[in-house]
Amino acid sequence: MNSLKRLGVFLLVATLLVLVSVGFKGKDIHDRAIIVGLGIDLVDDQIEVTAEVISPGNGSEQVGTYSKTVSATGKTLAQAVQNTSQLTGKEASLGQCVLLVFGEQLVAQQNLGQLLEFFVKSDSFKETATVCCCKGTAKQLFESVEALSGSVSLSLSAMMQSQAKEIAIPTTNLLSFARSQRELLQTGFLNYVETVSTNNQSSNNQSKPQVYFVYNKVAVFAKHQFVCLLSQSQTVGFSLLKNNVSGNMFVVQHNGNDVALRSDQKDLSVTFKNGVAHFSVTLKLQLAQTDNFGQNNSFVVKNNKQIPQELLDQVQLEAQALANDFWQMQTQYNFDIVGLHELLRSKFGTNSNLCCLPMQQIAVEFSISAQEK
Amino acid sequence: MNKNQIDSTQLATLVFTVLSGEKLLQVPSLLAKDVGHDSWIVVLCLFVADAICMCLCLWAVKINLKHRLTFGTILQKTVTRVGKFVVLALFFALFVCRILTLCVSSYKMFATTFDISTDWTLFVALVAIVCYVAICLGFNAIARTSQLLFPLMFLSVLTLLVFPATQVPISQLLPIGEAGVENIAKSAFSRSFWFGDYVVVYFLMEHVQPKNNKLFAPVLTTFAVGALLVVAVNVIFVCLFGSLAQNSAIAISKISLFSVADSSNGRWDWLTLSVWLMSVLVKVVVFFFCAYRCVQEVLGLHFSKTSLPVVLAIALPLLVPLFVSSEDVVAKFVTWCTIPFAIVLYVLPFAMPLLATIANKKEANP
Amino acid sequence: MSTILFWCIGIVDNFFAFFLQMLATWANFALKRLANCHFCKQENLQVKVYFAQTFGNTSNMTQSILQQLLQHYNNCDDVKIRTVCCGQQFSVVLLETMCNDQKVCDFVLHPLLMQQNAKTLQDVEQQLALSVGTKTPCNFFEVLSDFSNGYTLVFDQEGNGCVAVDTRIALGRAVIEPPTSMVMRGPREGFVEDAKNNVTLLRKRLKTPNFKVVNLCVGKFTNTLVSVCYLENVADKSVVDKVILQVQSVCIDGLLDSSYLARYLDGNKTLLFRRVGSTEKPDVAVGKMLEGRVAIVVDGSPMVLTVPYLYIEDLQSPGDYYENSSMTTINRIFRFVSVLMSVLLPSLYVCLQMYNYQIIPFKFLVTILNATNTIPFSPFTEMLLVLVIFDILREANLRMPSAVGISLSLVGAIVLGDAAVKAGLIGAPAVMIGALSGIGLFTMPDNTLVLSLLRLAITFVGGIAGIVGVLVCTTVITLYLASLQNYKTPFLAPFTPDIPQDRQDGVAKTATEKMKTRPRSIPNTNKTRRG
Repeated sequence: MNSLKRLGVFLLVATLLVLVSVGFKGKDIHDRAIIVGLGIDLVDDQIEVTAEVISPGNGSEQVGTYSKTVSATGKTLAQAVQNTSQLTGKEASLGQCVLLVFGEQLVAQQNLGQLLEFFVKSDSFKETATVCCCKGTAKQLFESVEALSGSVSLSLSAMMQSQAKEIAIPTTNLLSFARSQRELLQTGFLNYVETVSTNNQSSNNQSKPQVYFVYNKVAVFAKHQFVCLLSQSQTVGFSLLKNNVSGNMFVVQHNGNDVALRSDQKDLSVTFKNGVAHFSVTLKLQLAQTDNFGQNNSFVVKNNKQIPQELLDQVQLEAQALANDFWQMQTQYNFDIVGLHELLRSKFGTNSNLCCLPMQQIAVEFSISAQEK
Repeated sequence: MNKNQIDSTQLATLVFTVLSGEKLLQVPSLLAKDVGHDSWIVVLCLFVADAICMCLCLWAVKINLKHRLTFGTILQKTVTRVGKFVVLALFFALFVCRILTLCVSSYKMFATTFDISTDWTLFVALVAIVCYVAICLGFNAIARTSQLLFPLMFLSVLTLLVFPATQVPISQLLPIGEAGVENIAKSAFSRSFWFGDYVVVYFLMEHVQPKNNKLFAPVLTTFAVGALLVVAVNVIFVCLFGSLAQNSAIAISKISLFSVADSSNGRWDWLTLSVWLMSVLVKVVVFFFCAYRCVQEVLGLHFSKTSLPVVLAIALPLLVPLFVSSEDVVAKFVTWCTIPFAIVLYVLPFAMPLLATIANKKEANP
Repeated sequence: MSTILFWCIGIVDNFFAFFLQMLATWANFALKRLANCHFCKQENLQVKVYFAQTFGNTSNMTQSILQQLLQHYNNCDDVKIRTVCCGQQFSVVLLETMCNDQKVCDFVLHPLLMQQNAKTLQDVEQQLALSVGTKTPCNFFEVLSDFSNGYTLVFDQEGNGCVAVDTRIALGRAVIEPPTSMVMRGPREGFVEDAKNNVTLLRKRLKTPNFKVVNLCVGKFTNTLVSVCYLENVADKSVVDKVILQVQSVCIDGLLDSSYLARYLDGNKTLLFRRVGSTEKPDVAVGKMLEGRVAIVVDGSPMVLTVPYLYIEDLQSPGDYYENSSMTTINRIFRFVSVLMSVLLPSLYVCLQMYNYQIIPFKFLVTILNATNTIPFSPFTEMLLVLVIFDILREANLRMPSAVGISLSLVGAIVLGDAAVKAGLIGAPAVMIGALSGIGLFTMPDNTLVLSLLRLAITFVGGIAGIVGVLVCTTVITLYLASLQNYKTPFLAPFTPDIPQDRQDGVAKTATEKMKTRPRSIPNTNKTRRG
């Protein structure tokens, strides 16, 4: 009897579990349109999204690219994303999304605040996703084929996350950008991506243009609005004053020849004394050779001194000029993307004065030096 | 052997589990909403208060070792039957609220973050089954489970924190105490509902068996470790998320994202997080057990077998979120009950050693 | 009326049986205290009780013992009687099927025929001194017991007294390496079906008077010999007493294997996990006895039971103790990981596909999507299908003759695996995970069935409820395991309750010379192992 009772209870629980699970729809991965990258444009006052969706091949072997793009428009971003679901017939799933691209027109005309909220408030959207803006429309960007790998989103995001810091390009992610637009001076930046076409032929997608991505400029935003676009040299100047970014290359003259010096490491400290912000940058240089790319860690064997002092002096001057150039832009457009306001906040606390303290009112000193690594 | 008996090492691991069980989910964002980057100070203050209260409770346990009276008996012998009823009823309300909030926040973690569409009833049914099984098996099984899971939980949280910790600009915490003492104290008072997990000790008074005559040292050590972890989570969370911290519901899930090096790697961190999430389940089970003990003590019943109706009665309030927003209900209820809850959480412990002494004397000379 | 009558008779009968049982228990305890080692003395009252229950009251004074014996064994054609004249007439009675002809000839018939002046049974007993086991049964119950065990009985003329000569047939296989626990290094002897041989294998390794054996008989019809072996001054007395009491309280028709007894030794019956250890290797049994455990040898079973039992013993392999300790530690970690993996991997595969796709790394996700694009089933059904097929294959493989077994596994692997994938019925990742999980289970061979059942259950709940389901299942199983306790030993010791001294032989194993204390999780009276 006892065992019968047990069996009864077990069956009851199992039945209940199954019954309850009827209203419990697990989505198979095949029922989802798994989006890896999302491009957002403004077309005729409507939001157009272009999603790069994983598209499985037939059978166990992958034939062709593993992603396809789908575009849809809507009055809001949410509506546009939902419309992509209508097109694919699957639920749009953004949990694996690694790239957000804003089109040029959207950036110029639209406040990005609402768009960012859509992602920031989502529980499963990755805050580490790379965010950038692009020349032309995001749709064009996604519809091109990256020359070295198949997927636009994966390659662009991987490049910007891993490579940028070694080629002196500051990058940002969703979290940093969203924070920068809400805190203190409310200014931040996004990488500006351009495409360079190539004549390489793709075996998989011959109809699509083959391109390389160039992202060596940054666009500045304040309160979710576009402010200005930094030139390439200003971006290099910015990278000099930014932590965790290295790999600046300087070409200097030596005995009438051009010599390339690479700075894989730098020491950066920002202090605030007597009302003056002091940036102290020490660039650690070595001769650019085939095998010293990416040696930006501290545990590299030291070489004999090879760089004459006059070259170091030239680098110092060049770096100083780059930094000044960048700083001029900062004061001109009143934005702070090097975190000077954050420094002041940690020193004096948050107050309304600090939040609207214009860059012109902050006295700055640069001391940039160069030494051999 | 008494199936509820636990030794001091088990109590220590249980304190760690219960302490960290929930505070890495919703609490950091709630505190960030109140006091911004000073949330860790609130946490620290509340932990200090908890530690003092816990020491007093443990002292009472030590006094009680002679006659091993239950919490209810101690109250009945000292503050009369009515006093016992009031205190236990308050505890019951506290536990039910805690179970509800725990379930809601872990549901958010499991269902909203992990799964897109999880059924609340199924979730509650599963939790209730675990609680019923645990109460049937006795508190000793719960304590042993937490002892077994302790290293796993500790390591999983630690692995999740190590990498994000290296990316944290610690200067974000400066200037310390920017929110002001008043705000910090206010926040500590209003959020005290989420703390005070040492109350479990009340309901284990007669069951705790000091191992090698040590009671305070192991419990306080794990308490300190747990408290440090929670403080670290709060620090990392506010530093990483700044003004966005208050928008992010589940702190630990947001932090752990930064422990994955490459964003195309998938969220492997959630698997590690799942290991830690077992502590939330254990915490629900512990509170369920305490609520069950409250019912037993209030009604003066001693069930020979675990009473299914009582377990179902405790689980019933868990269906509230199906009809009204549980967060609103609990928030309102907690606002009304802040003072009574604060009394049982932070005033009663100061009287406990005295109450235990009196009750034991009365027991010795009836 | 008749119902009430039968009912009353039933009660009286039960009461009587209970009384006899109590008597037997009491008598056995008294006997055990008198002499700890009973192997040569078949003084077991329980036998008599069972005989009494089986044959009724046999103290019929009008018939001689021989006549009573023959009456009990009427219609048994293998009972042989031979009258020998050696001064006086003696009847030699034996069960042909249970006796060794050669022994009967050499130790009974030949010495008797050579003698011409034997008058009494004492003379006969002296004459038969060549045989090792010669004794004089005291009563009819002993006569019956000895006769059924293969002793040859020599009765005097009246048939009331007899001498029993051990002529038991030595049936059974030789001591070989047990097929269930092969080792790379270490002794290759294994237990056999004969309890006497098995005790010999133990005593061969424990040449000390502290090695004690208590013989008991279990089984109404089988009268199976059960030897409870332990080391005095090492094993906890209360545990030994409890084991003996448990064995004595077993009321069963027949005890055909030690696993029958295992169910009775398991105090609170467990649904899933066994709490009695079993081994086929004498070195393992001795190792466990040296730690304070009690070994129970059952006649007719090559599996020797050991209690108390810890879950961690499943993780330990006999070879562990003959290898380098660091190698052992690594192997144990592999075993542990593989078991965890095999139980949880299928459910995680289902959960991740159905609910938590974000967890899967992008490129792996693409691989899964490609592989399962054409599969008609949901991941949940697909996985359950793979697991059930695997379990069917395993069960079939166990029952197949070894020659067919190999071809069956080939068929299983090739036809069901490869063909199903190619036909697009099951995805390759599911087959791979099913196979990986299946192989992983065999690193803990004793618990394969239970773990495979758990794996199915967790996959089922995980498929319905996602990761919550998996966590709930894991928590419930942990709670259940943590609550188990038998013979004063917590099942999950030394991890919970935490016993730091015993971690020396937990997952990580310290060097043998450093293991100076006996495990504290197992009750024992002598904590020091060496040094």
